[in-house]
Amino acid sequence: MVVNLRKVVLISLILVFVFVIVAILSISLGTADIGLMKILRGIFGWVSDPVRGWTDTDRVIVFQVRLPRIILAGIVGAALSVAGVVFQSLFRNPLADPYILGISSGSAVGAILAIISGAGLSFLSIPAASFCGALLTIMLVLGIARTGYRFQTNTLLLAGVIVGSFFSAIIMFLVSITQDERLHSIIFWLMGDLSLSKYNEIIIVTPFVIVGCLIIYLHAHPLNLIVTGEETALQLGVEVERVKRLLLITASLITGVVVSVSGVIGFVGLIVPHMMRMVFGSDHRLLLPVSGLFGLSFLVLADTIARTIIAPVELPVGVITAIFGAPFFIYLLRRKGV
Amino acid sequence: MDMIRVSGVSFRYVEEWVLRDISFTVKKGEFLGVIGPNGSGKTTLLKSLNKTLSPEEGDVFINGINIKDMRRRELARIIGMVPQEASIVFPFSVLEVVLMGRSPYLGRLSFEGEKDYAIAREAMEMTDLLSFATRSINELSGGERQRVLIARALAQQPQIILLDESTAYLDIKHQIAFFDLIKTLNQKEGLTVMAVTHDVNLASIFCDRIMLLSKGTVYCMGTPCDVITESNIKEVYEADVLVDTNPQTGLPRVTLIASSLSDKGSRSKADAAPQL
Repeated sequence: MVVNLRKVVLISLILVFVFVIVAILSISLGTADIGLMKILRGIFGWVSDPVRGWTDTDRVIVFQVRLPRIILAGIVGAALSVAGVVFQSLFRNPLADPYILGISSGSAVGAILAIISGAGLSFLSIPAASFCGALLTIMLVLGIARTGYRFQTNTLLLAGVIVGSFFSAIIMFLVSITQDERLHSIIFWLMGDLSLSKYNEIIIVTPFVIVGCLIIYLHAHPLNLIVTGEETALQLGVEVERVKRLLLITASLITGVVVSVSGVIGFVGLIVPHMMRMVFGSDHRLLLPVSGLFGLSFLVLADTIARTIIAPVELPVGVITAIFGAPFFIYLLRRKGV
Repeated sequence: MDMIRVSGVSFRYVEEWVLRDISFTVKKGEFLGVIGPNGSGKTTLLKSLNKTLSPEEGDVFINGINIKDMRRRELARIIGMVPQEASIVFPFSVLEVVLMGRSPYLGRLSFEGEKDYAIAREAMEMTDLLSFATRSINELSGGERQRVLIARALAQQPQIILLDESTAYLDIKHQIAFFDLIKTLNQKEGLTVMAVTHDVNLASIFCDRIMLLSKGTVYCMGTPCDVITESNIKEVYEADVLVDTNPQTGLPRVTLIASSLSDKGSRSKADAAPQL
């Protein structure tokens, strides 16, 4: 029940191991059957003969298609899960998720504008446009909810909902005036899609997420106190406003960054934190790392299902997280009050 | 030296002044009660002492140091506060909540050490909570939860403890047990106590001095005998009470008078008299 450093390290290592297994399984599965044995031989025979028994096609599928997709799915899953924990705790609301401040809608507007304008705006890639949308939303919401240098939690929540619905309206407007295959791209983006993962996206996104998660983890203990009440946290020595501001901005930014490359993948940031709370308790010094590390495996697993379940057709991963996530959430609710 | 010195403190949330130019001192080891009607500024005053609220005017000195010059962590090692109630949404265990009292002593990422566990366990023993250690705080009754908050404040090992109607939701047994515990710490360890309460009788029994607040100012301050009088209560609370002497302690005792029943009360007394 009570957390110490050894426990945190041990459980984290176990979850890293789980991720490695999930990743290996995921690499071997797919439309083109590569086979688990071939993958394992590829890994363990790395030194003597890296490509033993591998064809060129195998190599392209593994290194150019599946591996980047798995890495990106992992990073997105980890970031959304950690951001989910932060938002739930800052708002002391079990129903909060990384999109509660409307970041998803804001980045969607950016992405859709980029998709619609297509070649005409080729210098502005979809992720860049989407991240601009996210930034704009964060600044709008924080600006509306700010009084001096303080953020009233309730005002923030309302500002997020309102800005979010405003952008949702714009999304609906844009969708309704769009035709042809661009509509298909928009819908995939809105449901969350990892099929176009590229290494250069990974290279840009990863440092953001790692630094963001480290900043958040440095405030794990103050976050414990803030969850029990902001006044209590003050009285126990936490500079509440400073910590709150820093965590809000950090969690919003890592959300915006990963949404810009993955689209709006729902439920991950809601469910993973709850599952981890039920298993490991509410102490953020353990909860944050396990949520991040389990988020890795969770989204890789979901994405593997998304691309294999009705192969060769690939589903957006958001469909899988929602289809399996919602009933699972109901089960959790019924089993034990959240 | 004065443990707490408040000098000319005024506070307002929006427009209306809630505290107006309040000054007083509390000596080390003193047990001060704060009473007064709703909205008289009791809780606001308490929160102004540990930077939960920042008064617009005036200064608060703890051990002679202006709290504006102290970091929150330093202040949290000196002052513990027990709120009226806890609303903890996520399921922390009792031990985890009590251990939070150790946070002003912890480094940023450091986990609690043996010493912190020992102190937390001691605080749980004093509040009769050891058997609850692994239970989730959400499963406890209101009274049990309140004892967890008290244990957390004790785990802070403060020199001053502020009680904000801390026993309002406790039953009689736990009310007395709580004040007995605080009084013992007060007498043996020299803990300075400032207790906001609506229970004038509890204040009378346990406090060395009592401050009666009225509309954000100190109406009067002194021993229970000086402060708890029919005229003071009538004037500040606008309620009729009967003040006599507590047969056990010799201190003033307040009996509430219900105006709707006062006729009946005197009649039944009159009826009963002849039969004796």
